[in-house]
Amino acid sequence: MTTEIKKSRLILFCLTAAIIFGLIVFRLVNIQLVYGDNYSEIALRQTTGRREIPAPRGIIYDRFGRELTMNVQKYSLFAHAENTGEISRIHSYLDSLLEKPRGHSRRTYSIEPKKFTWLERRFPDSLAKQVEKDTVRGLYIDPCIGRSYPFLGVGKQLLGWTNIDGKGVAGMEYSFDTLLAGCPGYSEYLRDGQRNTYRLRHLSQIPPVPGKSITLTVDWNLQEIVEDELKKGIEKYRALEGNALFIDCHTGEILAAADFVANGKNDAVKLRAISNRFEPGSVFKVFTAAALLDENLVDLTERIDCENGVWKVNGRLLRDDKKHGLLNLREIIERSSNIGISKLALRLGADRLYETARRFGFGQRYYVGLPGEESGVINHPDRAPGQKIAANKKKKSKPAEYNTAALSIGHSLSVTALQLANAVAAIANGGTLYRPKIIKAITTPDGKVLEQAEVEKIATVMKASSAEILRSYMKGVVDTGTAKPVKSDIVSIAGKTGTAEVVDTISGGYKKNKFVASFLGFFPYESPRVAGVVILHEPEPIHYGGYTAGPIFKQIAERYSNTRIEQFKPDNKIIASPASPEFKTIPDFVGHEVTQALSMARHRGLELVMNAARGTITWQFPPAGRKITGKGKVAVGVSMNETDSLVMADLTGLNLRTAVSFLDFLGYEYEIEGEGMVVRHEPRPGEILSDSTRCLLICGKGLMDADSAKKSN
Amino acid sequence: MTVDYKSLDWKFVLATAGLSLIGILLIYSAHYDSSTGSSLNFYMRQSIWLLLAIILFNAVIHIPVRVIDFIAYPLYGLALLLLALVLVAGETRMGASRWFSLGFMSVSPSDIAKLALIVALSRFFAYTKLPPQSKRRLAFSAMLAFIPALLVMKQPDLGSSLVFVVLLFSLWFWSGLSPAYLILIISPLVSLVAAFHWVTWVIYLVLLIIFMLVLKPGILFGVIVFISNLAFGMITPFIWNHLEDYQKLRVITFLDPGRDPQRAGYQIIQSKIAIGSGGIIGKGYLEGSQSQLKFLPERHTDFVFSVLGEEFGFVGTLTVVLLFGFIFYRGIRIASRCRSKFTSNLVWGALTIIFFQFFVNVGMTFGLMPVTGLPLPFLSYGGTSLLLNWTLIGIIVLADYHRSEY
Repeated sequence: MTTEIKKSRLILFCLTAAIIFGLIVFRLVNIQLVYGDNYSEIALRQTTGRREIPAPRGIIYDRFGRELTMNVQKYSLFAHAENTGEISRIHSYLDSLLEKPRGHSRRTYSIEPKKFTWLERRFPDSLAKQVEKDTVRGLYIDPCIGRSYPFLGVGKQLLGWTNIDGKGVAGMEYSFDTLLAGCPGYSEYLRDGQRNTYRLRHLSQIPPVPGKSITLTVDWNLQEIVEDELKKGIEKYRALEGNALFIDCHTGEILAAADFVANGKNDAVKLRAISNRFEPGSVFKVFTAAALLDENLVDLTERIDCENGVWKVNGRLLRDDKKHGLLNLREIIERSSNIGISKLALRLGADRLYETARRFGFGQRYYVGLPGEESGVINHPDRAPGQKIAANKKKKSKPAEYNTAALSIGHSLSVTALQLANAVAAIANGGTLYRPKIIKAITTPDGKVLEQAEVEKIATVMKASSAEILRSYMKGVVDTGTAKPVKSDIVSIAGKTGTAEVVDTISGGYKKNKFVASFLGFFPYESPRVAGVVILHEPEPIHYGGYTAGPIFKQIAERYSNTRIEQFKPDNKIIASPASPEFKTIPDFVGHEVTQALSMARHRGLELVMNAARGTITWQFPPAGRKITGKGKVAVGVSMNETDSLVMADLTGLNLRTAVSFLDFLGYEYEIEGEGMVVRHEPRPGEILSDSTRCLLICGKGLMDADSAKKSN
Repeated sequence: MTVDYKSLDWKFVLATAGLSLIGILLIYSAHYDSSTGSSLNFYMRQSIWLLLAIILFNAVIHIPVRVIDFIAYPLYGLALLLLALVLVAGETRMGASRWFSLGFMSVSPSDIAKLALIVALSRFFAYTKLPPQSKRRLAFSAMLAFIPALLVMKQPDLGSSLVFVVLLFSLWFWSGLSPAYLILIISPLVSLVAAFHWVTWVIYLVLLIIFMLVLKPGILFGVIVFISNLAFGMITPFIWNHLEDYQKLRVITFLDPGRDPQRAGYQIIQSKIAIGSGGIIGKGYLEGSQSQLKFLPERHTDFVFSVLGEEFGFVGTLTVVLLFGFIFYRGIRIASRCRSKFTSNLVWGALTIIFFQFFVNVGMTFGLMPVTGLPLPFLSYGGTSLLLNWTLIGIIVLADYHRSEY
């Protein structure tokens, strides 16, 4: 080969080599310089993960600071396996963990490789801890905050509930979800190609913002009583459904709102006491009477001819339940004469009657903040929907008069229990209509008040003097009129009964022999505090309001007066309650002597539950610094000598969490029955415990159960 | 034989040593654990290998050229024997029997065969009287290369067997075969690839005919080339069906890495992310998230270049590429300055081995080449590979030292 050829060949080769090197450098420039940022982003994305830190949900308190909701740690179990080997290991592990025969897990859970699968959304705590300890590859525990209701079913329609992901889906939980939910935080972590995660300090962590707490105006004591009585009443009077709503007549604060549906269908999503519309019937007569008294259109001694039970107006017949002769206004209300009140209503005329009804709040929404609140419907008698057709058919007739008469006895309009209770509260308090409230305060988790509901006066709807007269008539209804069974020796009740036929929503007429029985009233008569309404749908066979809804009202009023007797003294103007729940900060009891701790607790209004009467405190729950509301019971553990025998402390009234922590501290095995608060336990308080004692905690839905259990003890 | 160390090409040796040291640094980083602050002992072993490699290098440069000349065919014979033996008695790892286990180390006979083939082909091309285009010359040299290539392919190790074939082509070129002929000879292989789709195949065949009409290589030769092109194209589906699954996957993922990012394409994608995220100056030594967090596969062997790209960025990769470029440039200069055909061929062959591996490995890390398992010379972890490459460097330095001898 000549050097010439060799040289040209070398140049050719070097050129090719240069191109290859150039290609490599070009690719490097392209990847590292031009698209470097993109690749950095991908790298960042695959090496860092984000984990949501759930925000603790706000607590709902009743007006006295009782915790109506609780956040509890719950666990979910999920699988995210890499390959079939891991999956079969998971299955055999679960079989042994759950003590099930081989193959059970494989049948129950379908796990696929590289796929995230929830296995159990509510996994028992003890098993969850076991899984965490055993660290089976591909099987993980996800801790999350769950919601529990210490009073269990009480106020279910009012409070609502949250779904499995902690989002409010009904009741207060739903309508105030954004407030209660807070804002979840995030923590970032590093992860490697083999699914290991590393938490490093320099990675950012955004702490969650806890949800706001809500204090309701509701007195859970009354709520429990109302629900209990409503349930009993529905069973007794064989009604389909009942609603009741009670209101503080000097502030418009809702004290209780309850529904009960018979036949186990008591699972409504909406609170019917504010979302059910119905025709009020005779209870509405008090508002007609209010208008008459206010306008001075009736002489109190004037006797109206009640036509012996049948009266024709606009060619239509109006009937009374019983035949009445001449009655004055007081007697008309007491005996609930349709004809009597209709005749008087015609003096008022359509305009004034309609306006009075509107003024008392009918046909309007209050927007109390619960889902599904209804406005009801009320039409001006001259412009009632049936009017036009009737006018065309019979030109000579004046159906407006009939319509006015119908409205005056509570027909041809629909109302809600909330509207009735709030309107009667205005009569009870001397003529002032307040805006009904369910929220008393919104607070931060540590008790700082963010928003405080003010008492909001809407209007003066009648004169105080007329209201006083009307109240005495309503007292008469109970004493001598249609509601004699409501008369109580414990608390003086005033009110008005109602018995309306059920409107047939399909035909537009009335259903035969189906009634809505109601009782609208307030107590105590001398100095009214609580106004309310009880409504029973289709009770059988007795359907009179005074004999069904009335007695329920009476039971509620009596039991409530018994529990809160101090509030019903004549000179006590406003029901005593703090503006927001009183938060008590738990001090550090650990290290103190028992006697010292007791005085500390007394000083702060806390109650101690302990295992011995002498010694030094070594443990406490809830921990120091935690804020609690309500009765404020703290469990403390006292160190003891070997020789001391352990005496069972009184755990009743403790929430389950505190009770369980206490028993854990003492090292006793326990079993739990039910949910909620500890209402009873074995061994009984004061019994001496041996090392092998197994405790049984019986839990129930709170105040009433605890009280009754204590009494039986 | 005494060697005057002062007149050795020290720049060349130092560039190589630099690459080897960078390799140890990267191997340390590849298995570094930030929680314990230490690395797996790969870097220690590689350091020992480097020491041995330098000793071997020193030994090689003392060998007289005529001894190499003398042992060329015996060495080749020994290499074939070892290749045959490893198929029967080799240690099987990940489905391939490529190694002899000697207890403290694993010897890969294909590395010895590479060296043997360089020497054997160099000797053959240096002394044959046959003209470059002679069929006997081509056939005999092809036989020398294809026997070890087929034996290695049987292991199976497609990447290494390709090295033998490339070495053959490279030395054909260097010993005087006209590039046009070379292209025609290689063309059936191109046909094999083009035949994956009939459209590309038809276009390719048309281009081939035009090329041959211009070149006029002779009727018999032209017909043989064309027929073999047709034949290779037609056996493509047949060959495809006989490839191992992992080989098929490599081809598919080379063509489309995004097709299966979780499995087969994972390596290439992770490697590109690692290199790309390094940016200009890199994330810093021991700070590469892709390699430290084990996203990068085979990071001390096949993908050591990706560790470099991530931790030292473009500055690092460019430095290494330039070092290789420098070695290449110096090597070519030595090859063209050698008066002896045999030593010139030796240098050329050694450079071919080093740079084919370099190009395939680096190309693989950013998806320019399919994943073949060829290591990056001097940087990838691996004892025999390091010994072989330093031996090749020794041969180049030796040839340079004796460049004026015939």
